[in-house]
Amino acid sequence: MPTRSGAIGAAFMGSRWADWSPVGFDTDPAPGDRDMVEALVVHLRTWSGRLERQSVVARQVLDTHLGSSSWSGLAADVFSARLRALEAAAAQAAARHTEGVEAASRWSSSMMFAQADADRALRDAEEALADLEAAEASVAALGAEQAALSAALRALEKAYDSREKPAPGSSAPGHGEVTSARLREQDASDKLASARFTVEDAQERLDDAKRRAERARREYSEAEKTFADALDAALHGASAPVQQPELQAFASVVGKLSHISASASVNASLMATLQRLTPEELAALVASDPKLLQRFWEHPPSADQVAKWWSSLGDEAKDAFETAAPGVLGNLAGLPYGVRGRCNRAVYEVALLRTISLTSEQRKVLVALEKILADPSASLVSLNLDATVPMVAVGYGDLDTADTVTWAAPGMNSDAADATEGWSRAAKNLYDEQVRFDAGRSHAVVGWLGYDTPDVVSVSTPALAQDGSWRFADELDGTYATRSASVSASFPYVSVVAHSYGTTMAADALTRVTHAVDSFTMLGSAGIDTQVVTSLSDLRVKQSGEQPAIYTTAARLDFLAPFGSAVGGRAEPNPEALANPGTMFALPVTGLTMPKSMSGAQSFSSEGTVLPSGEVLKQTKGHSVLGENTEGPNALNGIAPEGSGYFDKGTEALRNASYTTIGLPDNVAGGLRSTR
Amino acid sequence: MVRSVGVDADQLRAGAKALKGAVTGSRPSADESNGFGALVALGAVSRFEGYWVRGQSTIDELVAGLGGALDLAADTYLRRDAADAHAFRSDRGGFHGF
Repeated sequence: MPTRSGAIGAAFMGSRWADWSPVGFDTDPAPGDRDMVEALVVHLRTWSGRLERQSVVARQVLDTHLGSSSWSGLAADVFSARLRALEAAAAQAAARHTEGVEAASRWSSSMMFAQADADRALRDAEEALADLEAAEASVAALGAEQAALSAALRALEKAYDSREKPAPGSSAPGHGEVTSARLREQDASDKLASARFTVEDAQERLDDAKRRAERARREYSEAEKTFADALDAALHGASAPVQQPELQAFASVVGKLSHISASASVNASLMATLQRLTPEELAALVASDPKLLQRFWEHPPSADQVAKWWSSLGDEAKDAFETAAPGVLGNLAGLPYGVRGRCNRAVYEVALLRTISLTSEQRKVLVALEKILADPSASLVSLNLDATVPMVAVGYGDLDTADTVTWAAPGMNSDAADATEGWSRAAKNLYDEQVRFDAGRSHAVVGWLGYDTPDVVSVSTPALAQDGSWRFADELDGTYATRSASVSASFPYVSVVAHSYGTTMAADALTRVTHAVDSFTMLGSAGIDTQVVTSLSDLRVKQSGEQPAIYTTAARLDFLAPFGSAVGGRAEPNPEALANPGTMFALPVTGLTMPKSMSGAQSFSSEGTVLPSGEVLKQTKGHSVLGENTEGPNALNGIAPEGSGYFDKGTEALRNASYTTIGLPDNVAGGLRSTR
Repeated sequence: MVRSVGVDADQLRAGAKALKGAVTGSRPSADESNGFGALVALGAVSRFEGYWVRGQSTIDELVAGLGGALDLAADTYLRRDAADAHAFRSDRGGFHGF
């Protein structure tokens, strides 16, 4: 503890006990023990070094001991992800502690200077005060003496100047006596003046010391605030506490995952993960590596195996898995849709609580879902807000029991952020139509927004369709799998309906499904990718009579679909669309190469008609799913007028699609024509 | 049939040892002093310590826990290889050629 004259080395909140009144303070203007601050520096530096070393060791273990030649497979991936997260967390913590070290070091220096200044000021003030007291006493004494001498001098001078005869027994003062008295009085006056000067000087020194003490206090306070601000700025980045049971569960998870062969596919590894882990372990795994949810999405385990695994579980285990890992189960094709719906609802509700941390696209999906899920017939078939773009699927009807299940795939510019509301409405329109015209059976429709849909540029390439087709195929197989795993359930009529580029993606998917679907209906197709589908007979679609149950329609006023098909170099499933102005507009782009067509479907009209009952079905007058009135440019009739889109209620396209998707093609207005 | 395990258990053990070594030694503890300055400084030090003491422990626990998990994985692989080798030896007599 630093001491100085008059200061006592004791501490209360670092105050150095002393009488600070000479500089005008009740307490120490610069309290603190610099040795303690230096100890704090050492403490923080030690922690910083320890954390930095832990980060470095984690990196070294990853690089040296856990390279792909040393360890591979799901266990290695999961463990390495956790260790990488630890490395980053330790480095972050070390950096924050280093900031603390720097702040405390600066504070130590500032405190030292402020205390030295304050101490010096106090010492000077004490000296000045002592001088002041002595000088004031001296002034008092000298003043009295000078006054007495002055009075005596005046008396002598009066007597010396008097012409009166001195009183008997006395004599008149002589010249020398008066002169001597004058000298004594002058000397006293000089001493008094000197003493008064000393008082003024001491007062000035005292005032200066007070000013310096005040400046020291101010500089101390500013430095202290800088120190506190720097420490407060380092209050971020700490890892969330980890409970021992969670760590033990993680270790157990890694141990169990180590049983899975490194040569197994990701899909198979994830299936084995589900089969081996307890619900608690699966929860620990997801918590330790949130990217695992995306792995399940991108590489889903076989729907058939998922269904078998689920049916092998007891009710208690099923409940536990639902609670433990809703993010995994909600998007697992092969599970009952009731389970998936509950899980996805749980994920959705958690997302609602963290909207502040979501992207604008994610928030838009949540806003759209709020309105959609108010409909009691709606359910969340899938939900993945953290995919490359948010993805969602909304179901209408009971997918676990419905006699028919239709999967609806959208086309260009239909990412969930922008299309959840519109595509779900389209799906609901189809569902309502199915229910209305086939009341004897139960129906379900899924509006599937489960792939990254193209924009106006990428629509001419097949990549996004091919990427999305894997997951779509998995979902289609899931409908079969979940019913086959249930003893009491009957198989539904499973159909696919797609619009625009969605037909490209769905056709790709139908080459990849394990289980054939009952029908495939294309509305305003943007063409078939001949790299994947060389003929419609490649599609795993069942027969309807003599022909595959593949249906197609292209509105005469939809110029965009044939344009996109031609520009993308894809095969047009509607041969009459080759004469559409949209195809003609594409010729300059395609180098005047006439686009191909692909036969093998059955075509129906979307041009509007009057039914024998007198009911008028409207014409589709553009490319969009749902029409809207627009005053802006509308290239190639991309936007149909309000009420005149393919999925708008009252259109011939929707009515006919509702029949083809539930296995009633004979009811199609205007009948079917084989495409050639 | 012995599987292609893609694992070097010795490397896993070495990694586990390195991780466990990173949490040895005494943990520095904060001196609960009131000599850090006036109230502003004391409050800041108190907040810093209060915030980071848990974060420091968490890193320690994670390092140790992951070291343990790596050991467990090494054990599992060794047991699996032993089981595979045993199964392979047992299968030998059952092969009678084509």
